[in-house]
Amino acid sequence: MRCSRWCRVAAACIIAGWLAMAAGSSDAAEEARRFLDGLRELGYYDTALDYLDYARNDSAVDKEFKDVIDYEAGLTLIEAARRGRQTSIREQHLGDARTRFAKFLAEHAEHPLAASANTQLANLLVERGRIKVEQAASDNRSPAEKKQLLEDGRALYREAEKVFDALEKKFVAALKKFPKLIPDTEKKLIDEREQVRKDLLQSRLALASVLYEISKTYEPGSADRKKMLIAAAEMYAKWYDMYSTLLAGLYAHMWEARCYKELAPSDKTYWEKAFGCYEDLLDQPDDPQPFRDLKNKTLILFLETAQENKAPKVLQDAIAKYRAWTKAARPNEESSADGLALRFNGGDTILQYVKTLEQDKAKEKADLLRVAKIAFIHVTDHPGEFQRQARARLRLPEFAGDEGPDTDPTNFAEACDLAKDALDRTQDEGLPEEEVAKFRADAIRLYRLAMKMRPADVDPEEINTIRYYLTFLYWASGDLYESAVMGGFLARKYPAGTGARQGARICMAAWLTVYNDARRRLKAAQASQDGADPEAIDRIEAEIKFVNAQMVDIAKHTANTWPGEPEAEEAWGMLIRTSLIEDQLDAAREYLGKMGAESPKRGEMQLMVGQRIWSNYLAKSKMPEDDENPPDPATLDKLVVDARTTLEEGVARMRKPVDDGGGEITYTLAASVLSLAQIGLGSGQPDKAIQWLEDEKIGALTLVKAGSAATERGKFREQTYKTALRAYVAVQKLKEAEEAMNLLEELVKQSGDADAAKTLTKTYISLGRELQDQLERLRKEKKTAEMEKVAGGFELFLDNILKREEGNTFSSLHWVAETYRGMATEFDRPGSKTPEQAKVYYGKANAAYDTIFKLMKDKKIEAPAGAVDSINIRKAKCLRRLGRYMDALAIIKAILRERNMVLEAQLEGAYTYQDWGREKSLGYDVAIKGKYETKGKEKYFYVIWGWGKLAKRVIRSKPHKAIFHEARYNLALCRFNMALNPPDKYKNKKSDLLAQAEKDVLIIQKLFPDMGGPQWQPKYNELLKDIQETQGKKRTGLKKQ
Amino acid sequence: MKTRCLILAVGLCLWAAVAARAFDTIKTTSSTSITCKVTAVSWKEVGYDQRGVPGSVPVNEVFTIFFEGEPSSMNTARTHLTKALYQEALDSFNKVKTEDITNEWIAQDVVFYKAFCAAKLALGGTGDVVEAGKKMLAFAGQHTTSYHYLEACEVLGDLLVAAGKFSAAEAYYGRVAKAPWPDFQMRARVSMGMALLAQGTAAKTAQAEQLFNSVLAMNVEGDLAKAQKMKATLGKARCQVDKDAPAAIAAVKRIIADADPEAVEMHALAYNTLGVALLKAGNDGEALLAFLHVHVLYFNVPNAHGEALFHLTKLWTKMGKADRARTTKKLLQDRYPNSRWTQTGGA
Repeated sequence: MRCSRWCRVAAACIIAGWLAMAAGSSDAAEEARRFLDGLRELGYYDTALDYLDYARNDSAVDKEFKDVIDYEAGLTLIEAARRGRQTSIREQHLGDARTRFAKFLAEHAEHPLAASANTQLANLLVERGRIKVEQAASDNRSPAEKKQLLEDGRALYREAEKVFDALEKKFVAALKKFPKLIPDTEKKLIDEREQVRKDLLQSRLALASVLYEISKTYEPGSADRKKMLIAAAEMYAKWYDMYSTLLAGLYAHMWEARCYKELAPSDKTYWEKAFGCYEDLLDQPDDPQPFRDLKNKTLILFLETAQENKAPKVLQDAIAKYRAWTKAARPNEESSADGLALRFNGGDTILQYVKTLEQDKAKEKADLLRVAKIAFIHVTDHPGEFQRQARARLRLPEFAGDEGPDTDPTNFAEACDLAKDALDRTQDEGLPEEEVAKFRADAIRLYRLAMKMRPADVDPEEINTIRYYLTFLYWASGDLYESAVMGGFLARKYPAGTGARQGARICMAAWLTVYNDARRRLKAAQASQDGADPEAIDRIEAEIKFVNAQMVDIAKHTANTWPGEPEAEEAWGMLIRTSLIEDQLDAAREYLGKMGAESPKRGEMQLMVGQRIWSNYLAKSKMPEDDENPPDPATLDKLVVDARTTLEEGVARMRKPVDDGGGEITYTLAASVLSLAQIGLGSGQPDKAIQWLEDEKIGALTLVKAGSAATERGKFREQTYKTALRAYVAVQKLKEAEEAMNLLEELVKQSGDADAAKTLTKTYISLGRELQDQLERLRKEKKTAEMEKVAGGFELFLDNILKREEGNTFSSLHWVAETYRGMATEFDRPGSKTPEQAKVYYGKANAAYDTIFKLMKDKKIEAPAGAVDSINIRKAKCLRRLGRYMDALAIIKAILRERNMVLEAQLEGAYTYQDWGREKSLGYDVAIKGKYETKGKEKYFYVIWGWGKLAKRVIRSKPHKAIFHEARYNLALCRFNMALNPPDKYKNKKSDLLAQAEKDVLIIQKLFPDMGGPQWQPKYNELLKDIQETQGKKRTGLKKQ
Repeated sequence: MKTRCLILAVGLCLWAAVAARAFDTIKTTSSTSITCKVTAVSWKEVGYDQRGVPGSVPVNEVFTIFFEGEPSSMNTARTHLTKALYQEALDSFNKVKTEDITNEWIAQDVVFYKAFCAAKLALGGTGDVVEAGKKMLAFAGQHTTSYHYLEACEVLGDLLVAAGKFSAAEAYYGRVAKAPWPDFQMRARVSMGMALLAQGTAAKTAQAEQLFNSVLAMNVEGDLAKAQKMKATLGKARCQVDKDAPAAIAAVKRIIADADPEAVEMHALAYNTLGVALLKAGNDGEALLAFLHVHVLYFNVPNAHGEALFHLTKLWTKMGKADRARTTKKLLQDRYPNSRWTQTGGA
């Protein structure tokens, strides 16, 4: 329900003014008061206060007026507070008003207005209450905040009510003390009694006003609100009856009507009552001026009520009254608040009425719309409460094309209004994007213009509002730097000002967007197929550094300035995210610590940080053992504990609403639970992993089986099954493990993937790698018992799979074989005799490969293209490590006879002879020189090249650089080993062999100074040292070039 | 008529409309009525016959004349005039069928009052000063023997001042100043002095001051004389603003203190004069308050209100209150589009 500002002019102010115009005022005092009233009516409160200061020292101003200067100043300040916009300034005014009234009372305790001043002091409580209620109505208040503010406002009103009630009783008692009849000659006594009557009236009206204000602290339409409105109306009616011959009594009648107006929508009987009051008041004379003012205010209410009532006859009557008023409008009503309110409401009433007209009333409609248009245009020409709304009215279809002259604004207020119009238009529904962009650009231009034209005395909060709008508009337009700069300025320079928090939020968002964009460009530049441009990369990296610094700065400022507020939590969240992106885990942890314990974002952030700690652990645990700074096991353990603790806390927070019922299971929560399962698995606690997988409400496996939407993203389900498989295997729940494996296979098949078989193979391979990684980690951490337990569990499982008669596929069997081989590798010591445990797994792998071949032969499974050679080579590897060299070589030669260039097979052939060399030293020689045979007409067909020829074949091939060094290294190694145990062929040639081995190494250093990089150079170096030592030299190794 | 309308309007009672009179009635400024037969009319006096006894009333004592046989709408029109409802009065006068009028004095009345209403509307800011001036000029040119003649000259002078044609205004005021009655002389001299003052030159200001002094020196009593002497004091104060602003200020303040509270025109003039003097003295703050008095309390004195708005616009701008400056400027332009304060920014 609309109620313009004038409507809130309380009884106290009007009546106080009227009281001050008590009978017996001198002409000079009366003129002074009328002047003061006029300044207030124009809203020139500062000038009114200046006038009062001036009047104090002006000899032309009589004592009667001078005595009440502080009282009048208090009234002026109350009015200024009422019409002000910024809360801090309004409260300042109220504080100053209190000071002035107190001063007045101190200096004029016996003054006839002393009682009124006391009433005004109580009225200050009402004003403070109003501020609370207005703050509650603000859009950026949460429901809880609104509720609290309304309660606070109500409390202040109730306090004021008590004061007014006490004053009323006091005045009633005081009135009773006067004799019933006072002779005319007793002028002083008569005046005193009159004053008490007026004070009593003032307190009574204030009481009714407070009831009305209390009604507004309840929801519209609620029973409480209705009750208070009725109580207020009844009280106003009572005072009207009692004081109908006084102006104050007439105001009571008007406010009574206002109560009926607000009751009417829920109870139609009140319409008649409201209009009845209006008619009583509009029958009053137009003079003197105070009556005119009352009638104007009544007419405004009448028009508002007619618009709400909507009945055509009522609207017609209202329009007739409005038109009569315009004909008799006075010059001072051109731009007065009431005059503008009347015109605006007159226009709106006409708009309401024309909707009811039939088609055949086109002429009447046109005539009325012309009147309305004139009214709106008039209002647009005058700064005030209705100016912007009037402009909006002129944009209605009824006035198509009548928006007024399209010229640039000539002053600050006009620029602001036009800018706000443009901004509002960007929110119009159904507007094409180009139009929205145009209005946005207009709004920016106009606000910037307004900033240039701002007067020196403009309220700083108004400027801050503009700054906030510009921040938002820049953001919406994609001008991110401008948005960030403006929002950041607002947040830092005016943290308590309008829009500061929102400005900070937009600033953070703008910097984050720039940051993310820069990161994307960096990634693209680095991955560029044309080759990375180092300068471009440098520039982008510098930009990222700069933007990150800005982001951190504003986020910290936001978090420190508004602790506990949503913006602060967002800031911490942003700092955590970007710290993780920048790989600053410690900083992320620090910021997490600063997040509020009750912050709704805390859980999510804990999960992010927890997962990063876990990733950190995984990366560190995979570092080579001979790294310069190998990870300390205690550090690794701490990382695991940190990761687990952080994730568990986060999950505990995020699962609460789910456990309480009704809470949503988000992907973040599900992913975090899966992470915890993986941590449990990775840290050798498979039972904990299973707990997380099988949790009744949020278990990853539980959710996947239930088909929860939270598990639909990415490869979540696949990961869950893989984790479940490994976990069950680890605790030897083989049935569940098998079920998980079957579900995994089913998932891949159902995906509709055309290459489902390949995908499944890849899945199994990745599963095998994970297992291998796990075993490797455990081995490095020297957790042998755990390692054996994990391996043991897997062995059982794999055996089980292998034994299945049904349900196996190439993928599953291949995975079994590869897993065994991987496990064997973990237990193996390359270059040495095969350990027993490794032999076991190599044997199982070999059996698995045989099973695959058998099933392929029986056409029970189908291998992907190119898979046969690969399997054979792997089988040959197993046989080699099992010491079945001939069997291995038979397989390798069979491949190489047909496809001599298969490098993997050539490598395996050379290795086989090399391994055989441990038993028969001549094997080393063959490993170096290769093995030939007759093939067709070719007598010396080198079926196996050996290290020498292999190196020659790949020396010029960049992609095979590693193989080259592998071949050259092993060549030197074979020669060295041969030297240690020369075959008959090289008997007594030990030193020659050693010298040759030494040359083998040194020639590589000479020809390829990098010697294969960090992978092979250390190997060459150690080998050379061994050679030197065997030669009796010092183990100096490779000399620095 | 101007002064009579302003000062006596409240006290006048409505005359019942009589479709046809059997006699003429001369209403005097002392509220007496002479029921008679008007026998002669000149710019100086109105001659009559009252039951065979001849008599005359000097024009300065004639408030209005109701002629026998005049249309009833003229009564309605006069009623509007006394309430300063010039548009309504004009509308009523326009309804009079002049072709049916045989009495030339009635015809002259109609012409004069129409011109008079147009002039008042123009001076009030809602009409065209030039068009109104033409009408009044036509009357004054054609009816030099009318009892309205001097009033017509006075109104013409006012219109010429409003149009910024001060020298021409002087000439018409000069004719009024030659009237044989002190109140007319005083009024005319004050008006002439204001017109000279508005021209802004030192010579004209000196001439104006002489005129004001001559008014102050006149040995005339009565409320009307007192009012004119007050105006002359204000005019003189304006003349002295450059020489001795404090003295001017003090003089104006005395006028304000002494003036009848109901004399809105006097107060408007006084506060504007005070404002100008304070501006000269460099006291912008008090000058603002002075002009605001006119804007807030005496806005229904059009020319004064226009001047006050003009000064307020400049002061608000100087004080950095651009919004208020814009509002007052807009009001000046809208309310008084033809005023010299709007068009030329003052004298």
